[in-house]
Amino acid sequence: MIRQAGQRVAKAWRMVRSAMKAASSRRVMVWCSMPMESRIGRMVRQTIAWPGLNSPIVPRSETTISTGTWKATGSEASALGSVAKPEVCIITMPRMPAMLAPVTMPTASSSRAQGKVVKNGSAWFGSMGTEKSKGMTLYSLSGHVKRPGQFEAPLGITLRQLLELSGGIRDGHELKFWTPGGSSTPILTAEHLDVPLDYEGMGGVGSMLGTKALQVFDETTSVVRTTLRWVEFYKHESCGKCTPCREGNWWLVQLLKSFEAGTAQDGDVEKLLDICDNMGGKSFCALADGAVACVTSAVRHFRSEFEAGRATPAWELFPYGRSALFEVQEKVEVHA
Amino acid sequence: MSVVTKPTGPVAPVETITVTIDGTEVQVPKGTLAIRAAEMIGIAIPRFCDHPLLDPVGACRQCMVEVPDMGNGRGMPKPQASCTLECAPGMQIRTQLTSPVAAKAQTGMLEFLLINHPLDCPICDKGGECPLQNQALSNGRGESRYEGVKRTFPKPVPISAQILLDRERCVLCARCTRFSEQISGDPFIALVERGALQQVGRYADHPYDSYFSGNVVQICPVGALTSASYRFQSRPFDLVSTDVTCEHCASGCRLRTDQRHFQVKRRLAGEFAEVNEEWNCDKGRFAFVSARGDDRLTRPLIREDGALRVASWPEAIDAAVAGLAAAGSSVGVLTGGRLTLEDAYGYSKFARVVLGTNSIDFRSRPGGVDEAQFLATRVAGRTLADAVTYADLEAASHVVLVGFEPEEESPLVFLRLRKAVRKKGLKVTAIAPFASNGNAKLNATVVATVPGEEAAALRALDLAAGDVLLVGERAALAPGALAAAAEVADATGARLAWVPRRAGDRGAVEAGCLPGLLPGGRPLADSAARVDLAAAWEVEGLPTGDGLEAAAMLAAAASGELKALVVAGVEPADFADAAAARAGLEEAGFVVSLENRLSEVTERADVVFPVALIEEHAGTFLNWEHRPGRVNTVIRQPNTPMTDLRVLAALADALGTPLGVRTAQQALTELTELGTWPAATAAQKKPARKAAAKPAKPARVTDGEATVRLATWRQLIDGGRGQDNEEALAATAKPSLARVSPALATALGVVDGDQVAVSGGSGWYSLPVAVTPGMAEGTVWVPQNSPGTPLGELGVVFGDEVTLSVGGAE
Repeated sequence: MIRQAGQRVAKAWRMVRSAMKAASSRRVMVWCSMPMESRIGRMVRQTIAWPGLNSPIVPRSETTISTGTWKATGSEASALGSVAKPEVCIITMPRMPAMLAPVTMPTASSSRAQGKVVKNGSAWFGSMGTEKSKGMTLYSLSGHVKRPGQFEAPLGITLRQLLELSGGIRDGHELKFWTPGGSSTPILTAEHLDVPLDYEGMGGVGSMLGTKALQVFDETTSVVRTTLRWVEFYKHESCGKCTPCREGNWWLVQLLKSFEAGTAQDGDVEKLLDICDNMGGKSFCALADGAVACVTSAVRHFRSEFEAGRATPAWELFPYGRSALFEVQEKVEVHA
Repeated sequence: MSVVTKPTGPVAPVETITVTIDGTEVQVPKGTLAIRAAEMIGIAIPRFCDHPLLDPVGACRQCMVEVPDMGNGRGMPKPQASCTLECAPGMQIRTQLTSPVAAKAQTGMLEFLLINHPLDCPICDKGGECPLQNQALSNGRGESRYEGVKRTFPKPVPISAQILLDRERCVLCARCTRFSEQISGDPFIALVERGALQQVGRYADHPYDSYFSGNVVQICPVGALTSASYRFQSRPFDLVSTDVTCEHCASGCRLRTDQRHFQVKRRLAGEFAEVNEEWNCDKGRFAFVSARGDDRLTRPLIREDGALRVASWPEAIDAAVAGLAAAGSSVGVLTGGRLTLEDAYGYSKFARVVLGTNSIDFRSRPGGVDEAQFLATRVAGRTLADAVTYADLEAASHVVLVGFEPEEESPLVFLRLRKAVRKKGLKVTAIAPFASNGNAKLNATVVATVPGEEAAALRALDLAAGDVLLVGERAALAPGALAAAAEVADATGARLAWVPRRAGDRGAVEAGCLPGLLPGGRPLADSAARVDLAAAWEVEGLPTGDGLEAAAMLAAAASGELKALVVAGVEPADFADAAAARAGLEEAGFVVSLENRLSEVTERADVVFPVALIEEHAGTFLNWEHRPGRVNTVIRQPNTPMTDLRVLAALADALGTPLGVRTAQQALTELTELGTWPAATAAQKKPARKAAAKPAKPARVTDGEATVRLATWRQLIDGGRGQDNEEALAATAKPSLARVSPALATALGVVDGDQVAVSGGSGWYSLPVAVTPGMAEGTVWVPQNSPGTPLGELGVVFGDEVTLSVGGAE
């Protein structure tokens, strides 16, 4: 999966080529987001035309470049499925599809790691990281930090250290909440600045390391608004196969919108949690669990903000313009 | 009536495992799903997407159970969908009865399903028999906590002329799309879009063109799929249900017929694992209103001064007696293939005992020279016990189809073959002019055969013992095909079964509605059989002269040699030569018609007796497996017309020779007591004539005209009278086209869609061409009786030579 991971596309493409060579595969399926398609296409055509190659790595006829909607859930089957057709359908497959296809699908970070491990040896790799989570990885920092980007670090680094590397929270602001790995991982607060960012550390405080795409928010951000935005994403991405995710997300968005608008009723926070209880662990795949994680962790850490949604709109408590990184004149409305 | 079952051999031991459900230990076969295991001990776990005949999918998440022990001492951390959970030895399962977690999960699911579900119950067909309603009451909350906005769609949307889709009601269980893809193989509907806007979508280029589309209405757990013909007709609790066997084809499906106010409102597929499992075809489901028009007959008619007038029963009987007595034994009986076994028996006995003739024939369709011989030796007298059955089709490794197009002629045989192809790797070989859609869905190897060459093609196949040879009625028209089938079966040990097209055909053979065959498979030529029958019937003797076959009867009636005809429900257009049939009826001295509607026969009859509709009958149909299927009376009213049998009994009494049976029950008892005659093997009156197979001539194309062989068969939904008055069904019929091979099309200079004229016999038809790759050369295929192409009018049958020319739409 070639994502624009802050690396040059050419570099990423070279990783794919080397992986293919290692696997002696003759066919590559490039799955990328839509804006990338033309650049990848150019890359592929240039590769075939480059002189000095003994034989083209990829015969043109066997390259498939497809665009797919990026999905939160990591099911490989659904990823392949989303490339095959615009609607997404999660299906049960007997084995990991990658084993059936003569193609490797390395992520940018793991394929990069592969090369280095091969070069420097496993002991070198094991000297980094923690007891159970070894090696180094790429942490992606985004949000209210001075220098968002990708940071290669050993597993077990803390958010405090990562913030140092990235210049810290933007001037005049302080950390309010953050997620260790994208929206599917339960949110954490400033309390957890020194928890090691490895699998065990995150598990120990009730979250997950996930994709290590840290999202960092400062005190100008409304938790209610953020949760709504996340759940709108899950509602949009839900494939619709199973009832709890399809209907539960639909319901959560409407409820959260009433919290955002300050029109929530008494008992709605309990209702929110009960809906999550009926969704979590009951669905066909983990997408519903991701949505549930947003809501339950947000309520756990910032219940008062939700309760305030019975009377006051979130945009009054936390004027939205203030959390933007640029000048905003009016209230920004968020749509599903 | 006794139930005839096949004696089973030693059953292979099934490996069982023990699981505990809600504290009760139960032994289940290995591989059983948890939801099925619970049903075995009477625990109904609520579900929507699960269906025992469809592959499990685990979509609706309604059937949540808790698994505290997977069988290895460890519990599963989350509740599981029991429809996708295979039981493991020692597994502990807790359903909603003993697990608060499972109960809450199920209640939660129902709440979720109802948040976007429209409040349509008062206007929804499914109300009263709705699994969503029922399960919401049994496992759901009393009130919903949802106060938001529901998603809406324009509704209803027709996905075919018959099936209407209401997307708001859909719970996305995917039963309909899975049925279409897995069972019937017609993937014209699929789930499209995603999230809460996911919906059942139709293939853009075609409506839901499937002969089995009605089944999705039945399996839909909500009212999302409804049928245009039943919509808003009734609430289920106002319906009175009766089990019947379908009267259309010889598959023998059990149906549930629902009537309200003495009118049949709808027919559902009945549950009968041995035959139709839980499916039926659209013809059986929807084509039951043919007698709803103004042409229904309820009173006897007599022809006076050239016109029919209403008469009383005594008057009509007297008139019939006068005519028949004058004719003596120069009478022919045409029964058709739509009578119940008991009615057919009544005609058979009436002909021999009362009229004193052996001229009786059920074949109101093109027949062949070898057919009577084949039926007498290979079909009559056989029982279910030694027959090929649906189970045998499923278990076979190779099935060969000769002159038989399952999807068009016996849809449930098609479904069972397809099931075996999908699940057990059954190999199907079809000896047919081209690969039809049905053949494609069976992954059949098609031996493209010019009509008439079937015998040679069959002999060229390599069959083994245990293979099954399914021979359709059309094989009678291919010279030597039936004899070849019999020979090949005997030589290789393959099993042979004859699959006729109409529900009453097999029963008619058993009842002796053939000129050379007496009831119970007794050959006319066998004097011992005649004596036996005469003794059973308590008559002095039986007529010994050879009877005439149907076409011969009509010709003899036209020429005056045959003085009278007694005709049951037949259509002249079905005969090989419709004009000759009409002429025979027209010119015959005296015609007695027993019909339930005005028809081309009643137009030419001297006396018409009204008879009961199939829903007013009690009786039996024998299907192609020789399996008896009960037809129970659906509608019983004081003024219901009499059955054919009862009318014949009245006529017999008036003619002075009582029939001996008046009711279906008596007829069946008598026929059963007669027993079957040991299958005739060597004793044949005439040696089997093996007509020399005409070698296929390549099509000669001159001046845009080609002489080709005609291939044809009846499509499932076509111009047959039994399908009248059901417009929605008629609109789903396949279009009439002329199929030719690419080479022939090129030679003629036509492409897809061009008009061609098919001429033969007494006229021609113009049809659009469909170029069909892989089709046999020198052949054109045309539907036998679709609107615009009743081939009986031309007088040509399968295997005849016809002329194909370009143009024709003048």
